[in-house]
Amino acid sequence: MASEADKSIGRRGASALSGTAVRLAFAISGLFLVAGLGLFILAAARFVWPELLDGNGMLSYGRVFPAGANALLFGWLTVAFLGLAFHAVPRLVGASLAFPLIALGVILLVAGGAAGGVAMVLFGENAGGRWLEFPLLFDAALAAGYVGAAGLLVLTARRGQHERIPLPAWYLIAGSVWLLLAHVAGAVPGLDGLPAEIQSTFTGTALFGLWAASAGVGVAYFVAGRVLPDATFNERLGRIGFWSLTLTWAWTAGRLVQYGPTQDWIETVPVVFGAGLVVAVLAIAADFAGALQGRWSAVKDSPPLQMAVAGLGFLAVTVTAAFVASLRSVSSVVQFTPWESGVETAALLGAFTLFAFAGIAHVAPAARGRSWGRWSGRLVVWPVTSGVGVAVATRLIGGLQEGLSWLAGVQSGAYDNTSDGFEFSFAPLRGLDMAYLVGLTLVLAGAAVFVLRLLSLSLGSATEIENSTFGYTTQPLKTLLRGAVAVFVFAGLGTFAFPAIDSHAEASVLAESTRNFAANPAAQLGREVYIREGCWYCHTQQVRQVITDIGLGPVSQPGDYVYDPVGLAGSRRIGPDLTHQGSRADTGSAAWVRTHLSDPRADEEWSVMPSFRYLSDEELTALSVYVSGLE
Amino acid sequence: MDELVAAAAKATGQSETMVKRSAAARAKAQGTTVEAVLAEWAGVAVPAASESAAVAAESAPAAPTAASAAAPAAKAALDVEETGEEVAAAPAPATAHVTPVAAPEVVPVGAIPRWLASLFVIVPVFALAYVAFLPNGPSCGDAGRLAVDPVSGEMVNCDGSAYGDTEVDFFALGEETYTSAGCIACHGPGGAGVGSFPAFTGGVLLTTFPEGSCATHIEWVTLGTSNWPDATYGANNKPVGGSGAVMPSFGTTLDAQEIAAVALFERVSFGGQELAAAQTDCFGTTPELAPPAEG
Repeated sequence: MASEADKSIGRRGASALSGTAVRLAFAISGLFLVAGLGLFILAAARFVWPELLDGNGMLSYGRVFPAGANALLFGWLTVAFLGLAFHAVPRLVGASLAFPLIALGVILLVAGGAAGGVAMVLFGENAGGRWLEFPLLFDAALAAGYVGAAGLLVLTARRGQHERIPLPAWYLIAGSVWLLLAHVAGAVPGLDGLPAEIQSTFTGTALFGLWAASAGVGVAYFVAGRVLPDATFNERLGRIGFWSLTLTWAWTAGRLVQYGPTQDWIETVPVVFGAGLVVAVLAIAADFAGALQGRWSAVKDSPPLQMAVAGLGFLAVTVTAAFVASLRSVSSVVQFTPWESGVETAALLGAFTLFAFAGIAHVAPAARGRSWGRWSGRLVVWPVTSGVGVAVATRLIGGLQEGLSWLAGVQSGAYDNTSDGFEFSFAPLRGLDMAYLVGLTLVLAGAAVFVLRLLSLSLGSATEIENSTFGYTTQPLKTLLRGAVAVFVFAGLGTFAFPAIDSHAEASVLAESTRNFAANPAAQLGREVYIREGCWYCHTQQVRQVITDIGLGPVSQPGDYVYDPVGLAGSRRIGPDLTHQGSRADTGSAAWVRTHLSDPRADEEWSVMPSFRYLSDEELTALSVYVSGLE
Repeated sequence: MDELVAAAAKATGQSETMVKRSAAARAKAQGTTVEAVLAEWAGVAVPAASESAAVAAESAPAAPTAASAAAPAAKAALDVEETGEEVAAAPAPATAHVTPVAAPEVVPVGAIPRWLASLFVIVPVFALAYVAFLPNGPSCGDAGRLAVDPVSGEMVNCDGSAYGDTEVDFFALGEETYTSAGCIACHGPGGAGVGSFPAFTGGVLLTTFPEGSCATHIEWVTLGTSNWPDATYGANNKPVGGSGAVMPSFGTTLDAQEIAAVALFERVSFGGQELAAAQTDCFGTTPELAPPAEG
């Protein structure tokens, strides 16, 4: 058996090269983690101290926030999970990694694409569309990397000794295929307005659920099987968990346009699949609970296992908060509030980050014949879990608070949610924003310990990691790949293609009169600036058919968006809705908008908007012409 | 050793050679001895094999279910490692009659907790029912949803009326205020007056404040005798304070809407004016004529 294993591992040189690719992925992803968190913290600090570093273009919220989010999703999580897949899949299928030199190239391509994309966003070249912000060149680099990654993992599985591959490899191999497909879906050209909005919600949801969550759960299974070789996972729960998690997650994308200008049925679908997603996560959690039963002391002793279990906890929080928000009665209160940011924080920084921690904390020391260490484990797990816990709690509570005060203003007739009236719902969130900042800082502290420990493990000589056996359920590769493609096509048709076709509309009167800039170059430039500077991260351009939006003007129709080159409906109201900003008596004139853009706190001292005085005179004028033209 | 191999082979349903080879690989991976692995698979304890086995050996002979729970685990491991065959869902029978290992209480491989199994039935049923009955979500008025006016595009109440424009029953408000504000004490429950305080009935009210002059009526109630600017009031120029009675200034205790409602009530109930005419008279055609009083 031992000689067979040696043969299957292949030549030592190739094996060392794949080890290099994995270690390189860990080191690069660690840097992205710290950088991304730093940008996130800077963005969060703007809520508490709006004057902080104000007037600097690179540090404007509309650039820093997306740069941080993209650094975390593409730079940290994607690179880390690809590295972990390059380590785990060969060992799970019993073959050496195919073409390790290409694996090294894949890591460099993806890291380069992510770094370049993040830099372009910081330099004000945002392409528009949540999670689709990177300019084409960097998208192409990422796509090339994803093709390589998926190809290598599938080839490795085909080379394997066994016809059937075990459960953690399902998640990692299928996840890499889904990563590529989600990216391709996001690159489908020729969509504008509402279809583009649907495209970005679908791509973002698929990247979260079909890639990051999948890879994360796969890593958690791998780590648990390694730390507890005698643990027995439940075959049926493993299967059910895998297929139900991946079948349901991408279908929940419509939650983000709940009550919006899209068709009603698109918004009913996520209610149904959101409930299924909660059950899927329960199945996976039950599988882990069964395997860990009677071995809880092992969880106490093993930092990687602690991280995996904490990650599962945050995964449950993520899908539960998302499901609750997809119910229309809840959505009519918490939509556009910090609630959705709580869901994202629980997923990105809670579940996915802790899963990646678990994998790296297991793999990185093992390559040196060492272990992560109990104290360096505690110093990561406690700050990160408590920090994410605090951050998520403030976002969810803040979401409820802001949503209810929007409702209270309208129902009492005391104020509506525009201009000065917006202050009543926004200003009271300062305390929660402060706590959010503290939570994120704790996460950064834990992440810093993690990266330092990771770097310290890079010193010393490498040892070969043994192949071993696993007690997981299995299935043939062909079945897995067919199923994975079917899952994606099914979800893509249901939550991307059909909704996009169904949302196509003729230009409305509003669009013709206020959004058609064929003969208005100033407004056209203004809209470009609006997209590039990320105004749409904080301002919606949609009036929903719900009580909260009373006083915002006529309800948005699908035809209102046909002239927008990307989706500008928006998903968060950190500032007031701008759909009919130009119609407002007090704040609708181009002159007022221009003054407000260059000195936001002159007129409204509660405003947290960055000052846009770093824009050129022409751009500033164009932006105010565009915004005041939205009537 | 051979005994162990035989027992393990029987428990897992694999050939003896295969069990031997698998156990060797597993032992190497876990850093334990071949005997320990075999013992675990066979469901028996050997001295100094592994920690869990040693602990188990001390405990009393466990129920046969413990051994049968361990067997499929071992079989699953074998399948993954060597044969690539379909993993059997049903537990293999355990036949070892040596001291069984007290395996930790794990859910048998393949079984699903009952609460979870029922969720897998309930949730899809709920989902299908939801889509079947509410494909377009809640109807107007539920879950924050309102209607949209087809002309203006603005949101309106489900019956098409403007949001916030709730119909106030001014007559009922006036009747209530007539009692609560104390008008009833001097002018009587039937508006017949008390002592020197004037009656409203018998055409008196509409003589003083004729149809179309509700505004004067409201002004009189608001200001009272002490704040009235002239020496006389009303269409018939009644002297202010002429009967020796004092009319209080209700502008300090009631808001404009309540005063107008009281006037409406008095004119309809005691003066005999038509309700619709009185409403136009006292409130005009738009509700803005009677805004809530400041402060």
